[in-house]
Amino acid sequence: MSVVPNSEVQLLGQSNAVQTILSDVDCAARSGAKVLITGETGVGKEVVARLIHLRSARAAGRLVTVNCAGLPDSLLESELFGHVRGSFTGAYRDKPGLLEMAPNGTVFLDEVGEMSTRMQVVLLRFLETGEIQRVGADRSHIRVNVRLITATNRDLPKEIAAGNFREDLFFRLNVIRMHIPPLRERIEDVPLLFDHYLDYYCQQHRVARPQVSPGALDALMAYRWPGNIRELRNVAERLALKSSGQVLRPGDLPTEVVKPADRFEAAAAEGAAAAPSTSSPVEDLTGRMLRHGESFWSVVHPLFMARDLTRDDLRRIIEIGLENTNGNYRLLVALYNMPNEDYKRFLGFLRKHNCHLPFQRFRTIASRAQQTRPVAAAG
Amino acid sequence: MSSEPSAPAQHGTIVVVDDDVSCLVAVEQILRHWGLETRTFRAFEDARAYLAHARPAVVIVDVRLGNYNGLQLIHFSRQHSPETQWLVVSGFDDPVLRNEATKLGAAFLTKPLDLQRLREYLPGGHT
Ligand SMILES: Nc1ncnc2c1ncn2[C@@H]1O[C@H](COP(=O)(O)OP(=O)(O)OP(=O)(O)O)[C@@H](O)[C@H]1O
Ligand SMILES: [Mg+2]
Repeated sequence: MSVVPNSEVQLLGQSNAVQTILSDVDCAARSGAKVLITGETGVGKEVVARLIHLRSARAAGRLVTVNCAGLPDSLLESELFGHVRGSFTGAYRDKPGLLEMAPNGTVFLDEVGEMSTRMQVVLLRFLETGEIQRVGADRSHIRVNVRLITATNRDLPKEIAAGNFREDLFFRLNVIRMHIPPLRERIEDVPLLFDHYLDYYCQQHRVARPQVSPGALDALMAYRWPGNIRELRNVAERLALKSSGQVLRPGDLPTEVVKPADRFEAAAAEGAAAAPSTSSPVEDLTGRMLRHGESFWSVVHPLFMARDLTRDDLRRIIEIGLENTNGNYRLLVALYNMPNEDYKRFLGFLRKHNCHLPFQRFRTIASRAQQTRPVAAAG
Repeated sequence: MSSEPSAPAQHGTIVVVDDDVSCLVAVEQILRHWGLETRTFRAFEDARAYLAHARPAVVIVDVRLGNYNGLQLIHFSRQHSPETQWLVVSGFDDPVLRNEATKLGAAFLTKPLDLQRLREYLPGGHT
């Protein structure tokens, strides 16, 4: 398990969500009660657990992290509770468990939703008695004073309904609940986080810190960030490594950020499933731009000028693009594989043919549209 | 909020939080019958928002509130309203949660509620 210096444990963000979490962290730190942290992968669950520990009266004690995923049952039990010599092959001596290793400290059980039902019972019993029974021992031998913080990216109430997680355990662990929303629900945090990590990695790799163009920032804010802050951090590091100190433009960003093809393909697949009609020229053309990197100027422009495409077709193509860029035209230029310098020319072209759609409605419906609205059904 | 007279005289207010409407209504009716000013919440978030500022005399809270544990509300309100009396009610007598509640100075009652006991915790209950 990696050791993170305390100075690195910080929860950055200016969104209301992060501010609420920070005040809840203080509240949780004061109280000493069990905390359950929920949220998607990479949102900062471990950061929150560390902060609670560091700000609590147990900060002088240790914080021990145990990941419940991927360990076979018997191993997890012996990790947590220890074992006595001879309790299984390879147990040559008595070994204390991690719960014993953090007296007056905190134990962070990560991915607690992955625990087997048998381990859930063992944990339930421990919470009741506070006593540790090492694997292979015939009685509990020691009481420990630890605080338990748990985390999961699963929907535990759903797991309870499906019979995979014990409801009584859930309510015991869930005394204080902290939910960390995904980054795409607090995009106002993106500029701050990106700046921070770009600074950090440029310093670390001793490269010149590039400026970020407004278009690139827009692209970063329009992206869905399925891997949340961990992913943003990785993108910042990749860019720092490539950086020559030049201004970062949308074209410099990783393709998955600028061309969220997954989103488009998922939406297109959904649309196709909903209406198994023959594929329209609009779909073909947008597909060629989004998936095959062909440019708007070579794919759409000539057809439109030759009147093989109607004005409605063109509008639809712009609409699909804007749905993918959160209503951002600069980004649309990159999405449809035009150089940044073509921005004015592109807008001029759309205006001239009365196909410049107001971007506002894509802003407001964007997050919903990206998730649920099939592209083909929108027009 | 706006429909209420804005008097901050919440000292006599009894707050009831339960996501089971039938329980909520039953308790509310009893409290009203006893002449107590009562506010009810079905959702954790609403109760939380209210308790962030209010200083009620008593809060009666269910342990199981959807995704949340009613005990969390005590943690959120303790700092600014230390004199509020908390009654934690639960359909299940879980010793661990009972212990948590007691550590926080709250009373732990199981459902169905014993009205005699309930009354002891309310304003005027000892007279
Ligand atoms: N608000 C934040 N400010 C700064 N850095 C953050 C923030 N949130 C997360 N990070 C960073 O993002 C990375 C992922 O965070 P963390 O490991 O806490 O996520 P997690 O929710 O535990 O993810 P997983 O479910 O995959 O275990 C870490 O490098 C962490 O430092
Ligand atoms: Mg984690």
